Amino acid sequence: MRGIVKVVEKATGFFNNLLGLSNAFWLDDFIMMRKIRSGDIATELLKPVSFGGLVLAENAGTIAFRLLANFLPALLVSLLYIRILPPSSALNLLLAVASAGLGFLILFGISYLVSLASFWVVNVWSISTIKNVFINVFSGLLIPMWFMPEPVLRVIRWTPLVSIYHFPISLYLGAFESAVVWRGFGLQLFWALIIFSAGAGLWRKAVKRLVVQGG
Amino acid sequence: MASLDGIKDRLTLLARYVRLTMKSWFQYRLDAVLRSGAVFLRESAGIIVIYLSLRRFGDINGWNMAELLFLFSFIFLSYGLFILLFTGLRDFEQLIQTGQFDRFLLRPRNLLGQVIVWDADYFAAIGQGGLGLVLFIGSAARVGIDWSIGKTLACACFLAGAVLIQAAIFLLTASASFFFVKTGNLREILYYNARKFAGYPISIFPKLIQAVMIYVVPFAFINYFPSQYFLGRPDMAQYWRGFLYLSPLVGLGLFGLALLAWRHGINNYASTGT
Amino acid sequence: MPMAFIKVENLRKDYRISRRSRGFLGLLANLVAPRYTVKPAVDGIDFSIDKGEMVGFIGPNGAGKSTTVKILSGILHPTSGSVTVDGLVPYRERKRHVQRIGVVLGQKSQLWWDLPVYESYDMLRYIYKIDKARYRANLAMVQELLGLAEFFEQPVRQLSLGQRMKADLGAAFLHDPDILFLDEPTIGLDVVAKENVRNFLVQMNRERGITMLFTTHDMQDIEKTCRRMIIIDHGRKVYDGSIRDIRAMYSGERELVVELAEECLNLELEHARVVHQDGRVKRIKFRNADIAVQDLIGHLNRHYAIADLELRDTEIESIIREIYRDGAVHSAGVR
Repeated sequence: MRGIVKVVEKATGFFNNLLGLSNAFWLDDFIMMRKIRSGDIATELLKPVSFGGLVLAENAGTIAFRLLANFLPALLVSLLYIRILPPSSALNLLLAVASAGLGFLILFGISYLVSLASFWVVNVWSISTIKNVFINVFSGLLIPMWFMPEPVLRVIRWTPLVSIYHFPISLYLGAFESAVVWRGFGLQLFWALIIFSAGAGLWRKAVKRLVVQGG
Repeated sequence: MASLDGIKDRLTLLARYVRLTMKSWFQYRLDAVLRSGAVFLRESAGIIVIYLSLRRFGDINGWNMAELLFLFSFIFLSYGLFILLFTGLRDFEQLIQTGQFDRFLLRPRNLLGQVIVWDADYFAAIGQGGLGLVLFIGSAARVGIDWSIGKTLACACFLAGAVLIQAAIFLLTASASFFFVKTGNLREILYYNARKFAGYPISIFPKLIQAVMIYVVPFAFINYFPSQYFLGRPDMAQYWRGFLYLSPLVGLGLFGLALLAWRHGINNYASTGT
Repeated sequence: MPMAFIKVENLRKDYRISRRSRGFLGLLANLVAPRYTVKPAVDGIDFSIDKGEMVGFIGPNGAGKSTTVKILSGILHPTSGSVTVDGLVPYRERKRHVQRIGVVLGQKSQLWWDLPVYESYDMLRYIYKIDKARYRANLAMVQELLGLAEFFEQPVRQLSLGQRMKADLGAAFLHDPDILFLDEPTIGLDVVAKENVRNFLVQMNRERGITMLFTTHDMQDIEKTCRRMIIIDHGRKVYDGSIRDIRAMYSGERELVVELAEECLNLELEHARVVHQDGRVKRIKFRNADIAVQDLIGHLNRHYAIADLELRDTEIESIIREIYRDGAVHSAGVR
C-alpha cells in the first residue's frame, strides 16, 4: 500500500505539469456543430479563408493567455511543493516550449477533424468523447508512459499521441540524447502536416456536402 | 386498484414508449451506435488507468486485480440498468427548464411513470451495461465464485438494490429541481463524486469517508458489500456482517424516502408555479 | 338557466419571487431565511362558462391569462378561490380531469420532435386509452378538416410553424375532449394559417359542441370565432360580455405617430383623423373596424414621404385604456 502511494505521489507531480498544459490546451470540439445548428455556417462559407485557419487565429490569443495563466502557475507550484526537477537546462526549456507549440498544433488539428464530423453526424459528442479517451490514456496525460506495457508503447510511440504532451515534457526533463530529440521533432512536424492536410481535405468535402444538400 | 387489465394497459403503454424512443434513436443510427461506443470507451479509460498503475503491485488491501474488477463491474452493471429503466430521472432538470413537465401534467397518466420512460438513453445504457458485463464475466471466472441458484438469486437481488439506490439518489435530486433551478452541482456531489470513490474497496479510505459511503450516500451497498458477499476478503471484519445482505432493503428504503420527497416537490411545483 | 359548466370564483394566484440579497452575507441570509415578494398573477377573478360556449380570453402580455389557463387545466393550484370544471376540481382530480380536456399551447408542441406526425398520434391513442373505432373516426375527421395528409408522414422537426400548429390542434381532438383550452394558438402564424385555425375551431365548436376557452392577444382571433369575450388585465377581469357590446361602448381607437420627411399642413385621410401635430410629427387616430393598419400605412406611403412610423398600441390595449379612463370597470352584459 505505501509503495503505491509513493509512486502515485511522484506521478502526480508529473501529471500536474501535464494538467496545467492540458488546461491551457483546452479546445472546443463543438464550434462547428453550433454553427450548423444555428445556420451561421452559411456566413462562414462566404469568407475566403479556411474555417480552421480562422478558428486557430481567433483562438491564438486566448491560448497564449491560458498558457501564462494555467501552465506557468502549475509549473511553479510543482517546482516549489512537489519538488519536481527544474528544467534540466535553458536549452532544454527552449526546446520544450517549441515542441509544446507543435504539440498544440497537432491537438488543434485533431480537434478540428472532430468538429468537422458534425457535417455527417447530428451530435459530435460521441466522437469527441472517443477522441478524448485516446488522448487522455495514450498521450501520457492520465498515466505516465513508463506504466504502459511494452507492446502498447511500441505502437503508440509512432502515433501523434506521444507528440502532444509526452515529448514536450520529456524535453523539459531533459531525458533524451540529441538523435532522439531530432527524431521527436521530425515526428511532430510529420504529424502536424498530415493532420492539417486531412483537415483541409475534409473541409472541402464538408463544403461540397453542404452545398449539395443545401444545409 | 391494480386490476389485471390495468397492469396489461400499463405494460402496453410502456412497450409503446420503448418502441417510440427506439424509433427516435434510429433516426440517427450512426449517432446511436457511436454513443454506445463512446460511453463504453470513456468508462473503460478509468479502468485501464487503474489497471496499468496497479499492474506492478498486485493488490490493494488484499484485493487482487480480478477482485477489483469484480468490484467495478457492479457499478457499471447497475448504472447501465438504471439508465435503461430511469433515464428521465437523470435528465429531469431539463424537463422542468423546458416546461415539458407541464405537458406530463396534462396527460391522464402517472407522473413518475411518464418521467422515467421519457427519452430513454438506451445506447448509453448499452455502453455502461456492456462494460459491466465484460468486467463481470471476465472477473467472476477468475475470482473463483462457485455459482449456485442461491448465489445467482442473491446477485440479482443485489443488483436490483443497487439500481434502486441510484434511482433514489437521482429521484431526490430531481425533487430538488422543483425548488431550485440548477441541481447539477448537487448531483455532482451526491452521485458522481461518490462514484469515484466506489471504484476502490471502501476500507482503504479514512473512517469519515467510509461512514459517508455507508450511511449518507450508501454507495457501499451498490458494489462493496455485494462484492464482499461473493469474495469474503478479510477487510470485511471491520463492518457488521449484516451489511452483506442489506443492499435490496437499503434500496427499497431509500427509494421510499425519495418518493416522499418527490410528492412534496410536485405539490410545491403546483403551488408555486414556474 | 343551465348549470355553469366551468365556474371560477374569486380566483387568486400569487407568485413568490425570492429577493436575493447581495454579497456573501446576503447569500447566507438567503439560505437561512429566504425573503419573498408576493406578486399576484391572478387577483380575484370570477366567471362562468356554459356548455358549448366559445369564449375569448384576452389581455396584454402578463395579464394573467396563461396562469388562469394553467389552473383550469390542472397544472397549478390556486392560492385561493375555487374552480370547478364539469363538476371536478382540476388540481384535485388531475387524471380524470385531463382525460376530458384538450390543451393546445401555441409555443409548446406536444408531438415527438424527431418522429413523423402519425407516430405521435398513435402514441396518444395509448396514453388516452382511445378505442380503435373512435380513434379511426376522429383521425379521419381531423385529417380531412385540417388537411394533415400532405405532411402526416413527415418528422415534426421538418414541419412549418403552420403545419405544426395544425398537427398539434388535431392531436388535441383525438380523445373526444368536452373542453378545449387554447393558449395563443395563432401566435407567429401567417394570415392564411391563422384563418385555417380559426375556421377549424369554429367548426368543432358548432358541430361537436366542444366548450372552448381561447387565449390570445390578437383581437381578430376573437372577432372571428367567439361571441363572448373576457378581458383581463393585471390579474383582474375588466370586461366580460359580447364583442358587439364592446365595439359599441368603446371606440378601440388606436394611435399612429407619423413623422413626415417634408412639411405638410393638412394630411388627407379617410377613416382616420389627425388629433395633434407638431411640425412634421402627426398623431393620427383610427379604428380597426374602419380601416386596417396596413391600408392606412399604405395610403400614407402612396401620398406622402414618411421618415418614421410608430404604432402606439394594439386595439386591445387601447380598449383597456378607454375602460380605465371611464373610471368604473364595466361588467356590462355579465351573466
